[in-house]
Amino acid sequence: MAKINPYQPYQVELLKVTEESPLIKTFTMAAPPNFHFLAGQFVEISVPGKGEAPFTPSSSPYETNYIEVSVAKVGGVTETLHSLKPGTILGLRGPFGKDYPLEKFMGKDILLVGGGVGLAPLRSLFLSLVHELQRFNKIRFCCGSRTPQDFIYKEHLFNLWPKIDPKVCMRITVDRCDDNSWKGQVGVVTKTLDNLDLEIKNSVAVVCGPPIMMKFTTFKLLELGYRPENIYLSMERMMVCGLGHCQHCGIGKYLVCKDGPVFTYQEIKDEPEIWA
Amino acid sequence: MAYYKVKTEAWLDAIFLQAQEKAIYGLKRSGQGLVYQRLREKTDVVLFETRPTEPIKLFFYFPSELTAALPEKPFQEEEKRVLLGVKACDLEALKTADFVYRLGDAVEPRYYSRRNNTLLIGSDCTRPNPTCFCNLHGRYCYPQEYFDINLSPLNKEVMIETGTPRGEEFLAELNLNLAEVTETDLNLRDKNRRGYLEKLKTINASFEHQKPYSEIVRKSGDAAAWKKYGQEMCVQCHACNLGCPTCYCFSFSDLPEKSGMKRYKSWDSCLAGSFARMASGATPRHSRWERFRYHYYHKFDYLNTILGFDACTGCGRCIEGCLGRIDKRQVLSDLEKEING
Repeated sequence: MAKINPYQPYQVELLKVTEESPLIKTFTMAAPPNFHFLAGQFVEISVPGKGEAPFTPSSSPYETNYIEVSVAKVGGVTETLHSLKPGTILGLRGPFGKDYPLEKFMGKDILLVGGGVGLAPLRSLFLSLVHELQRFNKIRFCCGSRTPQDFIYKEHLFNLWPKIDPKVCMRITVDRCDDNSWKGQVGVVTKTLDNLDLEIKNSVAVVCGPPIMMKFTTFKLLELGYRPENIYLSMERMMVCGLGHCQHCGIGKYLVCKDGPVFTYQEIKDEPEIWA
Repeated sequence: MAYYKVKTEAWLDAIFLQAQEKAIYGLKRSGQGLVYQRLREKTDVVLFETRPTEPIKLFFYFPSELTAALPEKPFQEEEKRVLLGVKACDLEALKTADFVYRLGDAVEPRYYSRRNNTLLIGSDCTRPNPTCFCNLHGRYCYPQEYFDINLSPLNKEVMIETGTPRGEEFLAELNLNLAEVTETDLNLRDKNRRGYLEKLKTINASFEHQKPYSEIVRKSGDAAAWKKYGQEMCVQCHACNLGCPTCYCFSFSDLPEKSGMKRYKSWDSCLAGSFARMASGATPRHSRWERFRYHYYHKFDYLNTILGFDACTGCGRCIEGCLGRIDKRQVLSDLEKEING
């Protein structure tokens, strides 16, 4: 009996390209037939003939017609992606890995902490949460970026989401601002974690961002009284195959593509090299 | 399943007769070692002796091969074939590859097809190499499982042990005049086997260890031996990865085509600096010694935790091929000494 080839991408059309910040663009692609993902899972997107790279969708899992990924221009594939126009055919495989366990978040206060392009998976999670807001308690969404220009989803962060529901509170900070245009908080994202007004014992925290930000945010959360099993980290590694075959994304005995990318700090805290 | 015996010459004649129609690969001498060749005309074929220079993975996942394309190309089922003279270390290695490529949720279709269409005829390793160390893992140099048929030498005869119904069927196709195995035959085989193990013990006398390799590696931490071997001696030639029958890591290379692309799947090496490097340039293992250590951790700790056995079968190809002259046995011995203080 012949098996399905899991390395074979679907062909999908690039529908829209949105410039989010000087380095980051959001790519909207038509979803393949019967394609469903859950917040936190990732997909492999390829520019035909150029290469493939892993991305976590930033769109709502409830949106079945299209899928969005936000991509920072940092490497070979991402640089080519940034040069593409709508109408281009891309390759897509997935979804892969584990999602955020929303059933464990029910009835709890939820803290989301994101930095830079790490806001992408959190946007997908946030949209899942607000889809069924009645199931959750308070939501605090703490966002950081280097400068005000570097924020992605500016319209959502500054205008739409703060008004979405009284249960939702946005806290936004920038590492630095060289002019007077920024009226908000200045400082690293861990500064937004003081005076959270959450019941920490009945709360989960979800963190996504650059490794250094994840590290210091995790330490701060532990200080605040979060238990390691209630801190969820979206780990980034070089996921090549997405299926647990290629071994590029190992963190100790775990593979980020299969056992993650969502891990609790409890699961991985004793593994080597976690803050790469 | 069952034991039989037959004259060695009769066995070979029957194999070569089958080889007229079937793809049968046997061992031949090449330089200092053995290599697989497709059997056609009757030539010298080595039934026993030792494992070949090349790892068995060459038959199941290739150094580089087309794995996907746009537009999609239909996938062809692989041809049926027989491997003759596979040693225990290579059979054991297939357990690791099977776990990754064949038994999980996502199956590698080419591996799956090749595995299902390959009949494995194992044979006892009667002449271990100076680099062989399967005994140090508590393994044996004669196959005990994972074969369709296994052969053991008995003077001028071969003892045939079938391991699967598929093996029984193949044996029936050979139309051999099979004799029953007596207790004397079994005793002789067992005595011979103890002799092969004695040779291995002598080869590895200076590398005996008290703790299991998995425990040694788990407790090693930042041991000085990692830096000595991993940083000062390893030249990152990747021979240990390429020759290893259990190493299965790979990368994709997508090449442009007129109207689409071709995706090649190629062996990769965890010793390479680029192996775990992410798009941003960050990598969890900057130094060569950290990557060298990871190679051991993966085989002796992580996969051992998941599989319940080391993903190293002691075939010694990593020692044979190493350009930095690193002997895995010595690394593990030094680590044990270090953790024992």
